Amino acid sequence: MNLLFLQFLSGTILLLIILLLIMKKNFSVVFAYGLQSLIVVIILLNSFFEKGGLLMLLAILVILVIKVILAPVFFIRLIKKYALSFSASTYLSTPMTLIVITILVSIVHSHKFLPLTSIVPDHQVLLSLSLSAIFLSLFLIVNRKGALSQIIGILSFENSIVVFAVFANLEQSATLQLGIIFDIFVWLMIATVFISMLYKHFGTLDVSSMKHLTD
Amino acid sequence: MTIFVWIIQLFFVPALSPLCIGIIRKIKAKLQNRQGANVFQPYKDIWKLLHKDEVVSKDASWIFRFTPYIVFAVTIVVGLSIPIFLSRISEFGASDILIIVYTLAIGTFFMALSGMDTGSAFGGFGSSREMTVSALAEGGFIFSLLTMALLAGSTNLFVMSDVTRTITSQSFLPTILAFGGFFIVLLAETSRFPFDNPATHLELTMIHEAMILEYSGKRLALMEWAASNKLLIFIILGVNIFFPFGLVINGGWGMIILSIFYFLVKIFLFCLAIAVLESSMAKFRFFRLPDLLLISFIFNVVAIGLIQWSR
Amino acid sequence: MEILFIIITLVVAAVINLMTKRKVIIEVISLISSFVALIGSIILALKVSSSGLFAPWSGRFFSIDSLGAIIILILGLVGFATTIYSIQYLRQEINKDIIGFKRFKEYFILLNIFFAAMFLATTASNPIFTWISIEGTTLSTAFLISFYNKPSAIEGAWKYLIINSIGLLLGFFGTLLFFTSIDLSSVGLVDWHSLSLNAIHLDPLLAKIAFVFVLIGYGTKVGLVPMHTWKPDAYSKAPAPIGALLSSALLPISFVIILRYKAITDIAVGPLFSQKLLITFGFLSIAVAALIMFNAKNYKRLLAYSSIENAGVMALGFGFGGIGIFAAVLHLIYHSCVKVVLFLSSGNLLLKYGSAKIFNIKGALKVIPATSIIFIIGFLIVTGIPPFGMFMTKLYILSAGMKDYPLVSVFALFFLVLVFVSFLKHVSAMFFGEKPENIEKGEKNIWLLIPQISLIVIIIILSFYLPPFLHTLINNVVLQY
Repeated sequence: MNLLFLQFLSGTILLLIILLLIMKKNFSVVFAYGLQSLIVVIILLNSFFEKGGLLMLLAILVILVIKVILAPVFFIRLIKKYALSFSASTYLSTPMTLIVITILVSIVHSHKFLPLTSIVPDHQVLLSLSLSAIFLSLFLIVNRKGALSQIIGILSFENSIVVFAVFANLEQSATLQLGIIFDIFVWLMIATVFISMLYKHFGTLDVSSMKHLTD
Repeated sequence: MTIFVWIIQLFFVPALSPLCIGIIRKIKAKLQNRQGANVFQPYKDIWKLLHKDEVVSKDASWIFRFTPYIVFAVTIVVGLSIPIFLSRISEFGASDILIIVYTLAIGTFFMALSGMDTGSAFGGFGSSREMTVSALAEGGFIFSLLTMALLAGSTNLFVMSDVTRTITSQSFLPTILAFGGFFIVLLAETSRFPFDNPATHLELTMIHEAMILEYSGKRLALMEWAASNKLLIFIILGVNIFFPFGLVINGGWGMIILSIFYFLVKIFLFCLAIAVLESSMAKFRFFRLPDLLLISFIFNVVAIGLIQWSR
Repeated sequence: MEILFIIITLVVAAVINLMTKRKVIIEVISLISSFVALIGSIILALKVSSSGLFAPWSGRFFSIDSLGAIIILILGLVGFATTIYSIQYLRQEINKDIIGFKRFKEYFILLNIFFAAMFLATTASNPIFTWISIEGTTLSTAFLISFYNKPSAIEGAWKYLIINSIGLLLGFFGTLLFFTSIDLSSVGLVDWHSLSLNAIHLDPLLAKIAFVFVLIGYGTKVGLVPMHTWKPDAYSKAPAPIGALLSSALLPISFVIILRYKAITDIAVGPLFSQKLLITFGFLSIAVAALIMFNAKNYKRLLAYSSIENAGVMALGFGFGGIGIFAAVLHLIYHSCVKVVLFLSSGNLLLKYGSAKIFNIKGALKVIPATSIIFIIGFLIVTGIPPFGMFMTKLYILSAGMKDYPLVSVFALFFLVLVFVSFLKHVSAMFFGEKPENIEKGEKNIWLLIPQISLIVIIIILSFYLPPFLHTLINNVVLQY
């Protein structure tokens, strides 16, 4: 597939993360994450078409099932069970969030990160976009107050790293991909269980309510 | 032929603006499963108001009496100097960005003063709210037009719409972002959702309506007409600066008719968008409005930054 | 072959624990599996010390170098000690009705999985596989930390999970950046060795950025400041043996990974960059830990801060280089052993007094004399009092730094003294003085003491005499790093 299409895809991923940062409803957050995983799978498929290998296809299928179908299903079930329609607010207000986003994206595209983004010179724009996606995911984790948002932040962080790896021609063999996705799967299960425990004990998923542990 | 074009340009905005309001109301009604009033009802409203008696408070000063004329005149002047269906009339000095913005601001200024003039509390807080929104929207307004001016290399609106017709893919993203910022300002300045509900009867939720609460008869007709003029002016600006496809420079009557047709289609699409937006969201509480206007400002700044980038 | 044997034993033990319903079977199986791990690790260490790099199946899946061998040795020892202690500790807790059978079973299943993951992490030859195993350790310990199901425990476990996952993902990103030196389409599985071979192809700036990411990422797991915020919460809320394992087993493993990347970076950019970074983080850790320790109110958090401080000392040692590396490796060994001693004794304190606050522990010397003496000896060891080994290691590390970074060494010395003072203040508050009225005297059980006593004996022996195979291993480490 040509470069422009890939650029469009990674631009969409970035846009989705920006939306994740400002959206207020939990459903839309989960949906945006599902969409993002779908785009990652498409990008992986693209590289599969270029390199081939049956095991790779199997790995991609597993990733598709787990990230695009299972993860959002888990989350939606959680949201329905505890009636968490609206996620907790953010630490920074929306305009400040947008300002920080602009600053982060402009830093990534500047000269400081040139060695990172010129690993594969053809893909420079793509690498810049995925690098900014990485930083924005980190900002997501820090900025939003709900535990569910933190989980989705970590998952989108992992997505952006995978996208970065694909664009930098650093893709791993199929067995490693399977190992990584298995890890993510177990992480997902544990995190879901934890959220249920959190809600049971604290009554809310707001992370700022967890202040018991001080010295 | 230029005389004809001038005359059309002079009468276009006042003649068409109540129709826009009517279309928006009709679409909203249809979306709410009602029949809604006739599309030409706003004309009949203005006609009715012009024939009604006026009551002027004895505490009102000359500002109250003259403001409707000033506001209406402002909208006519601005309507004359923006590109409607021809992308160049002549080197008309009033077609500059800043002149447009601040001419409209004269209208807002006098409206705010007149709201306080009669000493009623509702007018007072309407004015203060309007001034807050206006002050914050001014940044977004100027910067969005500034983005397009930077892309076109001139601040003359006619030149801008001319150059933007030949848009390249590089300047696509800044244009879209600047349009996003401009749209938010449009909603703010013309008192549509989510800033203000134009159909509200509850004084505590009013911004624009509160300022014209004391008017009646002829003056009320002029204020309402001026408000709809302002809406049409903003729509025209949005349409012709950001999406000036179909504008024609110089041509025969056939080309002009065709460009008018394109133009009407674009206005209709805009009205449709505003109506759908109004039917699908609620009015924001006042403390959230500055955030929204700041977002519009940030969009425009990012758009300007992106222009520099692609150079 | 042995590696596979160890790992399979541990996994099988976990599975058997999953299926059985009798307490005794669980205890026996876990005991056997950790004992097998201990024997296996000793054999492996002996093999590596005699014949260098141990890489069965031509290094495709597993490879152990000298540093890895030392870590495996520590793992086996510490694992065995904590398993013995855990059995008795959990029995006591069941007697007190703090936990039930379900938790008991869960504990041992997760414990065995944790061990297996740690062994895998140390012996894997592919960096990505190492990363997967360390994620595995995070996942298996998450539930162990929230073991008691109280709100504060869940909060601690949640912070642990989130911060460690972020850190590990950052480390993963750094790993990927290191991989750019190799053309992946030609080679199947990359291992540490080929990474270091290809390190000269790395763009220096890229190597620097990659190392920073790796340091911050895996440094989160080690607990270097400023990524240490999860440590006090997690250590204080986990059961005592788990805290011991986290501090004495997981910390060295993560540190070793940072060191392996350091070796690769040094080939690409020269040693100065990574040294400076390690020294900065190490010094920060010592300073912050020393300052917070002064006001600690919970003795388990105190031990966590001590871990942070010791991690800082090790980082300083590896940063200073030369004899500092030798001392840092020794410090690692001593620290793991003594931390186990301290944590297990603190477990005894908790069992006796029922509270983790320093304020509530008084006169422990009269109530549980054996534990108190062990704790005091442990405290003396960990703060670096002669004649125990840690005094020598700290001395060597500081003197290694005196030549090039005198200011850092002097201030580090000051903070280390501050650590001693703070620790002394808390220890004297806890152990000396009158005992409270309602606590009965006497230790609970001899098995709660034997692991600690044996470890103390080992430390004392090691302080004076290094067995030759250990000596060879450490020398090889110095040569390599």
